[in-house]
Amino acid sequence: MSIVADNNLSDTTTGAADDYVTMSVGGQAFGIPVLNVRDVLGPQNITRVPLAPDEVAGSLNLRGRIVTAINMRKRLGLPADDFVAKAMAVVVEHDDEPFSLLVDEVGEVLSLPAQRREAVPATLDTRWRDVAQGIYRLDDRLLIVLGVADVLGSIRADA
Amino acid sequence: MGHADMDDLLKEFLAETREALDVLDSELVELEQRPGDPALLGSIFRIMHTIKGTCGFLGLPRLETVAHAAEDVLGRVRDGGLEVSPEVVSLVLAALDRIKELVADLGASGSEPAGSDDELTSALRVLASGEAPPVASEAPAVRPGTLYERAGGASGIDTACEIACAAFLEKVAQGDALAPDMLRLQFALAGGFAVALQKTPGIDIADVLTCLADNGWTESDIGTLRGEIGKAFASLAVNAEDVTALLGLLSREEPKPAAAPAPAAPKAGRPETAPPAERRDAAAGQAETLRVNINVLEDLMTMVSELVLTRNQLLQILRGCGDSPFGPPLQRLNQVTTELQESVMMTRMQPIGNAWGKLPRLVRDLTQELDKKIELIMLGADTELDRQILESIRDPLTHMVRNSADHGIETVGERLAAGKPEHGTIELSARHEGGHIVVQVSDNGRGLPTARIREKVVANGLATESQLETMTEQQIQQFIFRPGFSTAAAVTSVSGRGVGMDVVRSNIEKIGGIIEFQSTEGAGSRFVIKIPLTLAIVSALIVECAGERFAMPQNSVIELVRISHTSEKGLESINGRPVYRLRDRLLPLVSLAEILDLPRTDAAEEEDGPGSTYVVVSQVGAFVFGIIVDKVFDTEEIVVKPVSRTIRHIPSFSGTTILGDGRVIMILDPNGLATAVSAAPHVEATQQADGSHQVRGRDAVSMLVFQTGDGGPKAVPLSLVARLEEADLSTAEQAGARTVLQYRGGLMPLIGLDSQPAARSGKHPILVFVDGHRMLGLVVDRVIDIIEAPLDLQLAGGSRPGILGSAIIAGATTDVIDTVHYLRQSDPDWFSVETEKAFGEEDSRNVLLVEDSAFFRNLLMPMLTLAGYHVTVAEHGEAAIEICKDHGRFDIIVSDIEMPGLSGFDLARMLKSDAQMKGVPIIALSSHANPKDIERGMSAGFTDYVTKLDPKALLSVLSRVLSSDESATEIAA
Repeated sequence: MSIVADNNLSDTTTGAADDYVTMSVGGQAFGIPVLNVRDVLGPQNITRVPLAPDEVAGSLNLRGRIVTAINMRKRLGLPADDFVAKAMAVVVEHDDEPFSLLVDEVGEVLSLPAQRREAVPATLDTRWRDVAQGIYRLDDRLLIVLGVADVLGSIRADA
Repeated sequence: MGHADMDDLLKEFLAETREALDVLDSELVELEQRPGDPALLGSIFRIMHTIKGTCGFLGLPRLETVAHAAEDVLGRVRDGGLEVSPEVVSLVLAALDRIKELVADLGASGSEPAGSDDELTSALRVLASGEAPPVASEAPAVRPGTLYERAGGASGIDTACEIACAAFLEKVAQGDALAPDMLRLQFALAGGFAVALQKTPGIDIADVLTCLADNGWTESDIGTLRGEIGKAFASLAVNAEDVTALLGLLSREEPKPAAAPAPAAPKAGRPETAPPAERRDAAAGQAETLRVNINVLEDLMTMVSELVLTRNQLLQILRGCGDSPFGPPLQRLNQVTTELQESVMMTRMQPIGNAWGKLPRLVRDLTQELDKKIELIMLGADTELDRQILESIRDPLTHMVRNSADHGIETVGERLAAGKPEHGTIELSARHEGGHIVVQVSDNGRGLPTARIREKVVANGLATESQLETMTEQQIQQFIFRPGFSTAAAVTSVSGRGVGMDVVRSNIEKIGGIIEFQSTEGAGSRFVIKIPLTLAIVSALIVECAGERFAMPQNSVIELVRISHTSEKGLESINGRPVYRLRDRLLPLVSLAEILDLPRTDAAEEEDGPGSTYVVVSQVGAFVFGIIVDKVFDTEEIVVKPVSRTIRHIPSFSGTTILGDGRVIMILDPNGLATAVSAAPHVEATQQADGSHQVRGRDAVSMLVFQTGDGGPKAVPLSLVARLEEADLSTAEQAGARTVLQYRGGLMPLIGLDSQPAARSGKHPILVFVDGHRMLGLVVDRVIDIIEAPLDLQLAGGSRPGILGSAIIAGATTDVIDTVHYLRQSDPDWFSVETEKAFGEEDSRNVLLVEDSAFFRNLLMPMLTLAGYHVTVAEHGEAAIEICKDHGRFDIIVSDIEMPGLSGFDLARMLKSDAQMKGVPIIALSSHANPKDIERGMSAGFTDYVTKLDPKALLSVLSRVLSSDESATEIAA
């Protein structure tokens, strides 16, 4: 089955299809529901925040709003050397606060039928399981659906 | 009129009515307390009347009926036919609630829900019809009462005028142009009728007409108006005869006015000047305010922020290029931007009272429901804060007040039994405090027993008994904010305080605020909320450290010191613990790079640089310290934005901002940095190295460790040392038996340890102690280090004069010297002067010193004794209580705050609740006093607050408190 076939499937079936913004982090494809994504930016000038949790890459200025940048490679436990400076930023909103998820690349928007979404395999690394809401088996790769709240919710050391 | 117009009208009506209802709520409650206030009553009446009128216009029969019935009751109250009683107010409030329900439904569905309000309206009518017949609605054939009453009373007349004015507008060609004045005219007419019919003082109806004429109304206009008024009264079922009589009033004194215009019709006039002053104000107020959608303001604010940033950027470029033709216009742009920014900020500011509007009603209802007597005091209602924040604290505040009324305040019977006044008090207060707003909700109810919280905490598994043992009462009380605390059992057994408090806390924290809870069993509870003025624009100093920039709020910066690397004069960096000699004091220093764990700039870069560092001298409370940074830039006006939730736990930052060049930087929090000074990583390392486990999170003390003569290292508390100098002792001179050194234009006596004459030669470090004009130099061989560590004297000084005892500092046994001994040696009067001033030859005063640290006991006791006090020492809080019981009265108690077991706060509270001891002033000792501590101390019952390491301050406070003993006692009690 190819992506074209996927698209056909979504066109012809009566089941609802969800649109995902796809992105890759450390070679793995991820998707975020398109309605959650506010903006996609190229590499940004990011101010490091001393003493912040490891996953927090810093803050950036998005048209006058201060956006907290999350290093997705670190969030997923991947090596992140020299990553931040050339990363793409996917801006999402969580609890009325803007965040930008730093990823390697941002790809196309895919429309995938909801019923083809599969549960997250139990064997997945817990760091990944925590943020994954489901998986799509595309013909050439696996697409992991990221839960925005899951990614951001736990990054918060209590005072 | 299109459907869309109708929707807009409805929306506007809903918004207006909701606001009006809130006002009515609190005004009615106020009316109950001040039944005789005509202005208040008038205002209530007017609001209800407007609601009724608008509902009629929009075709909302249920709302109109209810509002009308309530208005009738109010009308009778206004006319003196009905007393303001709790029943009346309750019934009108019930009508208000019904209106609220209807309005809510209307807002949700766009139409009035079906249903009947007969029960309510008939109850209202019964009240309204007390002795006189009910108004307008059924005022048929029979005509009892005065013409005024037959015309429908105040409400009838108002309604008639309103209808007439509206109809008039539609008839007259230039109606649109007149529209803005119509409201005033309507009020003026209604007022005029009331004056004419009731013979009350005021502007007569005829004068209103005069004014109409003066303002250029034609006779035909006035005729039309008159006709409409007649029709309006008729439509309100006023009978024909009365209508004629009423219109007669309108034409009666026409001679004066009619002079100007055409002959035919009589009366003339025009609104403008006539309305009674008060009404005109109301009308003017309406003309000057405008309802604006919140989103518009939000957008405006965002754009202004952008504009400010762009402006900053332009100015920065301008500074870089000297003379430029863009200079003057940019300056102008600068000014305009600043003004624009201020104006936009103003549009967002609202008095906090807006969030309190519903509370009087809430408290009143609870009072009736629960059969309690509660007074709600609101202070600082005009304190302004940002709209967004106001919205976020509205619900938490309501919740806290409800809790206080519901669970905090006791019933009248319980209060009397406890010896309290039967009226409970809930106090709400708000004030600005250094860039924050502090809101307090306190009550004098039963408080929350800590013991019960403990039980609950353990039962719910939030902490173990042993964990609780190590906590202060204050810490335990904060458990009420924990999610697990709000269980059903807590509602009954712990007076329900825990219910939803976790939600309250999270709401407050969402906007970057802090909430604290304090309670004293039997005496009441208090919530303190501290919220930042986000979006506030503050002036900040921009500094750089390790290549990264930070903003430092200007108001905490005292001065800037530049230190050149070539002559690091004054900067003592011994073993990594830096201090700085600033004029006559030694300043503890902290390196920003170290606190923030920034990578050190490599040496090469440092040499290339300007070859200097800067010390930003900052003050937090009474604590002054220096922050080492690499570079200092301009001060800049910055827009404070809250810190992201993910990094809010970092105490070093208070906010984020965007600089002129568009980059994001963090705003430093001086409070957080100050804490870091006393808990720098270095200290922990030292403690671990010496392996001592006596640290129990208590005050750390900076000790200056030095070497002199033979024997081990010696130490002295750094804060007692004014300066570190180095001098060639060969320049010292003999003056009598003393060795003195010329120093800063005076003579400074020099002294060596063990009283050895300071007769060495060569260069030696000198520790300088300063007290007013007196100085003393202690000559030592070598300064080793400055070490910050909790201090416990292991061996008492015993027989060795000049030594307080020994302690293990940085792994070595170190003698801690008794500064007082040496100071006295140099000048026997050193500590005695103010004592004599204070109470001369009186018997010595009894002081109870409560201090768990042997070091401080040994430091303070001799000093107090020397100053003429009779000192009793208690080693901990429990001992202090015992001693007080046995020994009886002390003149004053000086207590440490942080002690194992009973803390100073607890001790103060216990003493203050003891009948015998409560009059005794208590002074708190602490290592650094920040404003929050002081406030907490004061509320626990402390009379004053002294920094532990400042013996002079302690002495002067002692004598001041004792000499004003009576007044102090009063305050404390």
